[in-house]
Amino acid sequence: MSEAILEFNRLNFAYQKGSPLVLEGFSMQIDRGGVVAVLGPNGTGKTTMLMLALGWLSPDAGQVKLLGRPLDAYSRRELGQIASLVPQFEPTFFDFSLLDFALLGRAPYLGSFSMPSAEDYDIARQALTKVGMAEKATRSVMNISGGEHQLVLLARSLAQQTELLLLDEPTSHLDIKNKSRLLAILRELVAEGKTIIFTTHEPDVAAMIATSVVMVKGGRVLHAGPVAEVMTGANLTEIYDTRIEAGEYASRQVFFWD
Amino acid sequence: MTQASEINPVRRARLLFVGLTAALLLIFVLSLLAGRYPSPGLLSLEQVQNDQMAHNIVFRMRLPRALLAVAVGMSLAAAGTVMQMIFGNPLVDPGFLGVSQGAAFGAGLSIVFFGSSPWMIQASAAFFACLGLVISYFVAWKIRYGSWVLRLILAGICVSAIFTSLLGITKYAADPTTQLAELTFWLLGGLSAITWQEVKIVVPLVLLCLVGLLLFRWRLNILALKDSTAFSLGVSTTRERAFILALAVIATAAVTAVSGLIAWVGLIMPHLARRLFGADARFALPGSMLLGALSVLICDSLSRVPFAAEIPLGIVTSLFGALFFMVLMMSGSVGVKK
Repeated sequence: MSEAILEFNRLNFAYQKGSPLVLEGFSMQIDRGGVVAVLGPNGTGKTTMLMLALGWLSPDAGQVKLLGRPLDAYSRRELGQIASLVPQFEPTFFDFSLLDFALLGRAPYLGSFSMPSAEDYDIARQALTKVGMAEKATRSVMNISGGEHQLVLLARSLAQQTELLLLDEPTSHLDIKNKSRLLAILRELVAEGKTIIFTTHEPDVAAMIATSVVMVKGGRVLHAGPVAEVMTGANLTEIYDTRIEAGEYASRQVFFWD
Repeated sequence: MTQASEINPVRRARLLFVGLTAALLLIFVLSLLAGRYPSPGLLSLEQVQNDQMAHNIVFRMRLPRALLAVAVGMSLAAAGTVMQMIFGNPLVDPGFLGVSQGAAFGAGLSIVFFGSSPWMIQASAAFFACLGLVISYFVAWKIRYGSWVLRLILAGICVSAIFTSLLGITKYAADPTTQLAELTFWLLGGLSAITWQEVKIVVPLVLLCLVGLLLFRWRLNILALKDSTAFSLGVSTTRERAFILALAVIATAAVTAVSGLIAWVGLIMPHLARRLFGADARFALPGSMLLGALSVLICDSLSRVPFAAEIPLGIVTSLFGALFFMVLMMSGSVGVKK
């Protein structure tokens, strides 16, 4: 369990030369099977962390290692078989059916000139079933709600069958029932040995599922570590500039804010 | 284990393909027989066999012309589909990225300054069409903000505008009695001068590009996604897009060099194909190519059969294209999200 799947070693990152660093000297190790929540106010570099983990952004200094190897030692296809991304929202201009859309998750396993096989279809269909969208498989991806869209993005990532899942605010458009479904899916994935990193604005969601928490503010990582140590009212108050208190209800951590 | 829910669209697509291919073959044969010799109407097979003149007209003039019409339609429609998907913009056509305007300028330059041998016009048009793409690409590479797609679109707009201005200067310098007329005719687009010579040069090149695009067609779906998402799905976005765009542009440049500017086909056929086959490029791309071939073949027949004087093909495609697009838009979405 303690094998590192992802390591950030002394990362520096700025979006443009000369602009302030979004990350500075950031180090962190994420163990296989862990669930990491990244919390922080809007525009503080939460998504940047995901993109660095994905390899879409490269650090200005330092190194990101995936399964002990530097990211740039992998081919794109290899990376796509290990790590998948669930964006918060993805504009689509063409009305793919949900099944065709989930099927795109099979891309890292298919050659440039290949077509998806019956097995790929099965995997995509199972992924849609898992997120509860199988009945709408023939619906257009342009005619579904924001929450359903988010579930379909998750289905595509599930079809990708990766060990590491990077989710950008996965609960932001979901109603309570679907939030609960999403958490159940994430727990299942963790039970299968997968590793999850997600950004969120909801401390409750983070406390319910995460094993570690990273708190970022103003482009700096202020606190990082196990949930029990880091998810405190004082730390949350510090990063959100709003008084937040942590309490407990039915052996669950809950948060109150003014 | 394939279920009814996804076999149906596939079966539907297959049926449509068979239907469209049959229609294309029928129209192809009809277009060989239709014309104004010896009188307006259709030649009989007997006439084609027994009348040497009719035989020559069919096999030396109409056949290469019909083949090239198919090549033009397929290339423009395929390039339109590819570009709309790659740029994530259903309103893009193959003329984007300075390709059409580059070809137009190239043809103009050749007609006015290098003499108007067909070979020279075609070479010059193809060269400047590709140059349009290369410059657009280079400028997009150098723009320091925005996504790759936005940068390419901006660069394409600028490059097209520059070629349009240069074409204007060329027109201004042209001899109004001879060169200007020839240039205008080229700009209106048409297949009246097509012989086997052009077919032999253009068709193999076009075939190569179209086969490449067809092989790549499922992958196109991924390239229609956001850059970072396509990356996360294991795709080398820049390299694969460049490869696909190059195939689309070479096919466009090759046909445009011999046909002149044929508008609207590359914009509308992808929409119609998506309407009939769904958005998945596995079906939409070949569907669009068949529809493109069918429509250009029909328009070319309309341009030469009904009237004693031939109407340039570009005018016919624009007229019917614009009308058809209006109907298409009024009858439902064209894939543009509000």
